[in-house]
Formats: sequence, structure tokens, C-alpha cells
Amino acid sequence: MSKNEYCFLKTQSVLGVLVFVFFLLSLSLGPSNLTILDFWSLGETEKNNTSWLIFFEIRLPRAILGLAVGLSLGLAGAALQGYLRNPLAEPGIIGVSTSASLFTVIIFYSGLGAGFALLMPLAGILGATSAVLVLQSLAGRKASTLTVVLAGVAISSFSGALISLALNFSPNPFATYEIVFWLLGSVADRGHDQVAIALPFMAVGWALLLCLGNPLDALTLGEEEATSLGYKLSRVRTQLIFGTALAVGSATSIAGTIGFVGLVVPHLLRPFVGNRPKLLLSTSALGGAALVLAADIAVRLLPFKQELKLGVLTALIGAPFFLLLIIKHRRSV
Amino acid sequence: MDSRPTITFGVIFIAISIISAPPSIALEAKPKRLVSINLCTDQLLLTLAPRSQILALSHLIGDSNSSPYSDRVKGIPLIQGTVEEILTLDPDLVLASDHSNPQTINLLRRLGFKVQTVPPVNGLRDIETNIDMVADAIGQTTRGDQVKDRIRALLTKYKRQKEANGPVAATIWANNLSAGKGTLQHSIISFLGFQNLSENFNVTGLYSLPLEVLVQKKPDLLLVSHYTDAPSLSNAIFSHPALKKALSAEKIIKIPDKLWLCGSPATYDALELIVKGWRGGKR
Repeated sequence: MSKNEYCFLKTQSVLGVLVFVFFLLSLSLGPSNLTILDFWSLGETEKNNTSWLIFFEIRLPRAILGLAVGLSLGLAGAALQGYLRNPLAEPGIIGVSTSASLFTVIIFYSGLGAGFALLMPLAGILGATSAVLVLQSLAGRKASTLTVVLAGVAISSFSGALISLALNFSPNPFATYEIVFWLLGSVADRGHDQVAIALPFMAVGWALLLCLGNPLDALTLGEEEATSLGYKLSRVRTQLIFGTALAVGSATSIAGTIGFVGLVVPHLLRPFVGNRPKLLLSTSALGGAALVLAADIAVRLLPFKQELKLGVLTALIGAPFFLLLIIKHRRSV
Repeated sequence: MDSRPTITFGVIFIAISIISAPPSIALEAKPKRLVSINLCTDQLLLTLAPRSQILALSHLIGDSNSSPYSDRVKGIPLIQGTVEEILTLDPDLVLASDHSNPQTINLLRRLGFKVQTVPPVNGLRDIETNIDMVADAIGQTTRGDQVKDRIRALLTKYKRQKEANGPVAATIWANNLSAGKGTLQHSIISFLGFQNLSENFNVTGLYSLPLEVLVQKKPDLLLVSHYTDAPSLSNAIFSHPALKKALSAEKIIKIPDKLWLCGSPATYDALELIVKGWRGGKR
């Protein structure tokens, strides 16, 4: 076992334990002061009482969704950074999250979402796919770091502008209010039905992205080298696009925009696994899950009258981190 | 000698000013060309003013999701409430809310328009105060008194004494907002003899009521926001499985937001909905 792989296994187990602990903590925290221990002591006959409802119908979907959204964002961030060989690539920054939000807003705004619940994740996926495709065609294949980020900013602003347009023409103030709060991003009070609809899509996305390990490793040597090793770049790209779109698109369609997780996590974990995209993929997935679960615990602990939205907290942490990365990037150039 | 005429003139002057003062107030004609630029003052104006005097109302009064009177405004121009629109209408009085855009109100006043701002209601009593305020401003006090008489008859009909361990009611809107002390909704709930769930937390104004707490405290009556028949995100929250399992369907009453978003004579329809729903659920 190489030193890298040893470190990888160690990091992986630590993160696994963290995710497990945060998951239990997430089940234990809430305004009604019930902990996981109360849950454990419930007898079979009490399976329909209030505590059970709170655990099973409110906290469990929240914890599962936090885990799944974090996993999607961490994994997509690591895959995008690996493929674009760009340390600033991230679903939020390159506009994937915003356009997934836009498509979802259009769907529930038009009222289609309620008639056919599956449309929400499908809209998110479609939005995410179109963002990645536009990014590809805007920036070209051999684009520099800066071009990719610029193209992403352009997509992000355009989607943002269209969301503003939808808000502007919103028929009444309540609808505006709802959309604005949804856009802030949160995993609170989602039901099992919503999670069940989005989870299969996310899972397919995770599988597609996790299978990118070897080609991404090969890509670190350069595109020609990767081709000579037998990887078809167009296939890798398609897999990346659909993986990201499925994972991030369906996550966004349920939780709203939760930014910067995909940026922060791979950067924090890269030192532990070395410069191996393959190892970074699964590590970032676990790291993302741990981060989002932790952030979702934090919003419940902060002493505000109105709960801070998850997306607001990740942005507050992530944006300064982004600035720090730009400064580091400038120094290295 | 010299001071006499001065005093006489003085007395005459005072007498004239006293005598002439009341006519000068009475002569100052009550405004006849009325415009309202706020959904809440729109509702009061529609109730109190003769239609022929209403030059324009705000656009929201025509939206059936926000306004209880959307079917009564046919033929009345609806405006966005910009100064330019108001200038061309040239009203004697503009009615606005305390929370209307201050830039608009300042500019209107600078241009010499009379603007009456009406405060938002924080309880049932404020509705009558606002009716008085608007009725007085447009010179329709008789009409105002008639409206208030009707309201008081309804109030006597619905009033129920609050019991110490009486039924508990809670309100919930999108984003889990609920009404605490000092809100119109709290005042209505208390008036109908319910405890407001918010009294458990001693909160004033709107506060965030987590679904979890709602499921745990299980109020006897849940008044949920309802602003459109079209599907919306808020409807999704209200159909959360946990809520459905914790509270049986007859304990949940949809109250159209338009009824108590503003305090107006339409608000008393909400009282009726609650009383009927409660009786229906008890069957």
C-alpha cells in the first residue's frame, strides 16, 4: 500500500465516522428538544405517536437530504475540478446550480410541479445539463481557468437575471416571497416523498461521477496522454456532464441553491489524498456530506428568531474561501 | 381714550374670527376626487366612498388572490401607484399605507397633493379606527357609522369567552411564519375564544413556527394560509406527511390570505370561516 493510499483510507474512515456522527446529531436536534435517545426508547406500539412523527417524517428526511445534497455537491465539485483541471470549478460558480434553480422555479411557478411531482427534479436536471453544455461551448475544450470561470459567471448571471424576471412578473406578493425564500436554499421540512423522487436521480449521478476516477487520473497527464491510454475524451465529458446534472440538478430542485460546498470541500481534502482525482472523488463526496450536515446542524443551533437558511450559511463561509483561493491563484501565476 | 377703539377693534376682530372660523372649516370642501395606492386603503375606500368619487385604486385590488373585492372594481381604473399616474388623475386626496413607498408620498406632498396615510392594523379594534379615519378624511362619517354598526353586529354574533384551558389555535403561512401577540390574527383567534399557540412561546408579531413544534403541540385548530388555488410551494409544506398524520383534516382550515392581509370589512368573513370550521370539525 502506497503512502497516498494509506492516507486516503485514513481520511475516508475519519470522514465516514464524521458523516455518521453528524447524521445522528441531525436526528437529535430540533426545536422540540427530543434526542436520538428518546427515539431509541420508543416501543413498537408507539410508532405512530408524535415523537415518532417528528423523527421519522421530519428529521429523518432532513438528515437524508442533507447527506445526499452534500454528497452530490462535494462529488460534483471534485469531478469538475478534476476534469477542467481548474481549482475554481464548482457547480455554483460555473452556473449549474443557478440554472437548475431557474428551471425549477419555472416549473413550480407555472404550477406544473404539483400535478406531476417528477417534473421538479427533471427540471433541475435539465437546467443543470444546459448550463454545462453552454459552458462547454462558451469556453471551448482547451479553455484557461479564467475563461471557464468567466463563462460560468456569465451563465450564472443570465440565469439569475431570468429568475429576477420571473419574480418581477410574479402575479402576487406571496408567490414572490415564497420563491425568494426557496432560492436561499434549505433542507428543512421536506417530506420523504420529495426525497424519494430525487434520490434515485442523485444516485445515478453519483455512480456516473464515481466511475470517472481512472479517466480523471489519466487526464492529469494531459489530454493526449489520456487518449493514448485508451480513454475517449468525448465519452468522459458526456459522463461528467450527465453525472453533474443528475446529482446537482436534482439536489437543487429539492433544496434550492446551496453554494460553495463543491468548491471548499475538494480544496480542504486535496492535501490528505495527494493530487489524485480518483481518490479525491469519493473523499470529497463524504466531505461534502459531512459539511452540509454540519452546516444544517449549525443553522439549528444559531440563536436566531428565524432559522438561518442553509444556503445562506454555506455562502457566508464559502465566499471568503473563494476570495482566498483567487489570491492564492494570483500568487502562483 | 385712545385705547378704547383699539380694544373695541380687538374685541370685534376676535369675535369675527370666532364666528367666521367654523364656516371657513365647513367651507373647506371634503375631497371628492379620491385615489388609493395601497391594497388596504383600496378596500376601505371601496366600502366607504361613492363609486363616482373613486378615480383609481391600486392594481392589487383587481387580483382575486390578494383582494377580497376583486369582483367589485369593474370600471374603476387600476394603477401601479406611481406619481405620474396620480398627477394625471389630479385627485383631491390620495390614500396610502404607512408602509407605502416613502419616495412616492414625499414627492406627492411636495407637489401639493393631500396624502392621508393609514396605519396597518394590529388587532380587530384597529379596523374600526381605520374606518373612522378614512370616513372622516373623505367626509363620509354617516356611511362609516353604518359600516361599523354592521361590523359590531357580527362581532356580537361571534364573540366567545376565552377559557383558561380552552381550545388552542395556530396560524401558519409560507416559510413557517405564524402570528403572535400584537397581530390581527392573534386578536381574531383570542376574540373567538381560542388560545393562540404562540402564547406558549411569548412572542410578539410574526415568528417562525417550525413544523416540528407544530406536530408536537398539536393545536386543536390550524389556520393555514391560502392565497391561490393554483399549486404553490406553500401548499406543498401544508401537505407534509407529518402534518397530515398529526392533525386530522377537519382540524385544518384554509383561510384565504386576502381576508386578513388587510383589516377591512372583509376580514369578518375570516371569523365566520373559523367559527364554521370549528363547529364542523367538532361534529
